[in-house]
Amino acid sequence: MMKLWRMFETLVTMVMMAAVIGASPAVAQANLEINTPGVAALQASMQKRHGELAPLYASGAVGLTRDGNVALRDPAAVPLAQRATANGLVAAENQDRAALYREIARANNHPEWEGDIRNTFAQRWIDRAQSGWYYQSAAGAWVRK
Amino acid sequence: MCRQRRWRGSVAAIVALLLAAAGYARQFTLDIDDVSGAGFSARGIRAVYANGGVGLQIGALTLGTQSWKNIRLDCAALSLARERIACDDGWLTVADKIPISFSYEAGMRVLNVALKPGKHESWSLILQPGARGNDLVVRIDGGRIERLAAWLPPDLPKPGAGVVNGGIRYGSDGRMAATLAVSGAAFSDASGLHAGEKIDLSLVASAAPAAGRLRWAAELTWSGGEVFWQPVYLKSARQQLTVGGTLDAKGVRIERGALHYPDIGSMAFSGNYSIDTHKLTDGNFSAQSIPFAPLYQTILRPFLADSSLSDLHTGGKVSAVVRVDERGLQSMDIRLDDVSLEDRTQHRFALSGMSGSVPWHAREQTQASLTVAGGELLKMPLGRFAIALGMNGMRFELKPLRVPLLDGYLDVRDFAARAGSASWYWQFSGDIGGISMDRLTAALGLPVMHGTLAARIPLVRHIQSSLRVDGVMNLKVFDGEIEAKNLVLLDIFGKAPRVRADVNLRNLDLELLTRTYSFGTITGRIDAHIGGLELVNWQPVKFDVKLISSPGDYPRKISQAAVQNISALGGAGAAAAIQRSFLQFFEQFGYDKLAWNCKLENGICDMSGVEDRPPGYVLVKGGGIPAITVIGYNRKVDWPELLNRIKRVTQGNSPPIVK
Repeated sequence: MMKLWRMFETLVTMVMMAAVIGASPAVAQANLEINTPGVAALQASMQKRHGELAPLYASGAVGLTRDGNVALRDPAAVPLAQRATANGLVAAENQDRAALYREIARANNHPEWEGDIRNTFAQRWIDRAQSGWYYQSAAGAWVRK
Repeated sequence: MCRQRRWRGSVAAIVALLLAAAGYARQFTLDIDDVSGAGFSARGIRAVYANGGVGLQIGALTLGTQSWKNIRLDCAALSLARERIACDDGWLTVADKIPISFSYEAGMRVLNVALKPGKHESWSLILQPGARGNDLVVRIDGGRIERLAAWLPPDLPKPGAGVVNGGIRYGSDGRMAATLAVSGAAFSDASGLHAGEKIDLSLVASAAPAAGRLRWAAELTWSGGEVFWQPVYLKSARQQLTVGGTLDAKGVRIERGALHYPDIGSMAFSGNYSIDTHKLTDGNFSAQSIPFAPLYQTILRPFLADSSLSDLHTGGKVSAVVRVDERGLQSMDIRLDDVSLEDRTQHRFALSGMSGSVPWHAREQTQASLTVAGGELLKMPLGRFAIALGMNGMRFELKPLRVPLLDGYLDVRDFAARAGSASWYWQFSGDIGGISMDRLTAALGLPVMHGTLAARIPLVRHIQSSLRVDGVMNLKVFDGEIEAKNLVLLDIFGKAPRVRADVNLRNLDLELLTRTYSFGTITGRIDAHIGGLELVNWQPVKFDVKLISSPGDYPRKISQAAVQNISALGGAGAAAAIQRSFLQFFEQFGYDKLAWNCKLENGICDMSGVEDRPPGYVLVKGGGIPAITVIGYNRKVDWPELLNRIKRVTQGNSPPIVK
């Protein structure tokens, strides 16, 4: 839990930097607003789900995609009885991630930043992944960390 | 056509002819360019007989939709006798090299071919004279199912493990009988979302020609294993499918079908399937008195994941008659018998004793009528009500509906819904009335408030994932009125719903309001304007609130406790100027006006009051005897911190301190 939270904080700092670098000098003065109830709600929802997703990352059933999502990359690693749940977790996680990127962009009155925020998060999720987890390389191939 | 007819003779006869001819020569070669028949063609055929062995080569062979190249049949030691031709030790090469044996009894005219592609695996074929020609018998022992992969349509999941045992008999009189048992079978598509494991199945099927058609029947029993067919997961429970009907060139007719699912019930079906269009041209499904709980748990629930119906306690029985044709679903006649639904984990709603019928038709106007014995909405009890829903294809209209809610009612008017291309559109308007605040707040687990609640809900429209309210939403509470305008709810069913509105409060009785909380009592009335209110996940992120005493003539009193608490809101460092000498002697003070303005942005509330009194501002302006004036000094306060202080004060954790 704490690990995830620290990871989130790092991400926030990083997104702020990305936003500052990418913004015009006038905008660069502004902090990237990240502490909104919307972000907090999504973060809580993702944190709650992480406990269920972690074993799926570890088994390689689920991997981190290059576009800031997660994907069921090896369904055979999940028993049939749990496959619907795994699939549902992946869908719900991607929904939250999309909402998170959108919410951060919106909270900063820059909806057009959504794509950049997604890309930046994508790279950081991969950087912060535990060894043994799978992620998608820039070329789209699955790589075990 | 001519060629087809010429080569229609049985394979057995050709082989016999070749081998018999070979018997008279030491070496013999036969070349055939092209042989074809119904659903079959072979090109580049060469048969060579030399030194007591035979080799048959086919350049290209097509059977049905499958094609192979360079097939070889080799038999090093062919035993040739007048009555019997046999090869006990041959090889068939079709990509793999498969051991093959065959024999032909000339007298009995019996051809026997056996393939042994794997250990403990044999596929054998016997062709023998029957009543009207040759009878064909196929026997499979330990046949590996994966060998069938190439024969299946490419869009179906691929079979993996598993074996099949059994036999198929196809008589010269056109009668067919098959008994097959599959064990330990597995299949999966590439995504893994359509897969099965350890499947045991048994199939008994028969067919016989009748009046230019084939009359057939089959019984399939699923006795082991599990299947996941996104999103449904099923375990074997000796589910049984029994089907019978006819087959002709035009299509398949199912005259009587029955699916028996232990613990759920049985479904009967019939229909026609067109071979030309690959469509169900007519289908009827009927299931009576199905217990709703196992039906919901096994079949319906997976489709409802992520909806508010994803985790329910259910009960009662349902019956359904469904009809489809080539255009799709035509009608669905559903009957409910004492059905109940209860939101199991979040307790947001519950409906019990639902009975009635929903006779939906794709192209006709019909009406559903249901009675609901009772229920709960957000822990508030609902009384008995009846629903009359007009249906016309994918358009639905509800007749005005009154739902008893607590000691009052909820009226729903103008409810209409229709299916759009991507999502549903719906709208309604309504009223809430006669609900006592005492009961409402008790039911919602809030501090007890007094008075009654009435609300007018203008037209609410649901478009994609947002709710828009046309006009003014009006709530009568605390003997005053609350109005919400320009109300928009975005992403309403998402994780972080957003609400935007402008809200006006008029003439609220402060005594009714403050009596609720251990805040101390303020007698009087207030108005408030909350402009540009923005909530995310039901928490305010932006607003401009102006709260001020209502105009008019009414008693204005403030209790000592309330004064202390208002002062405490300023925080430890914010000293309020209190006329301390009076505090020791009076329980109540008079005031002339109170006001509080807060402009919230980026988590900071920028405050002011009735008027500025540098370095502070007046929150409560004294008037009458004894009078009290409360002055605030903090103009900017962190919003979460202010909320915490209000919480502490209203929960009465910090009793007023009188110095």
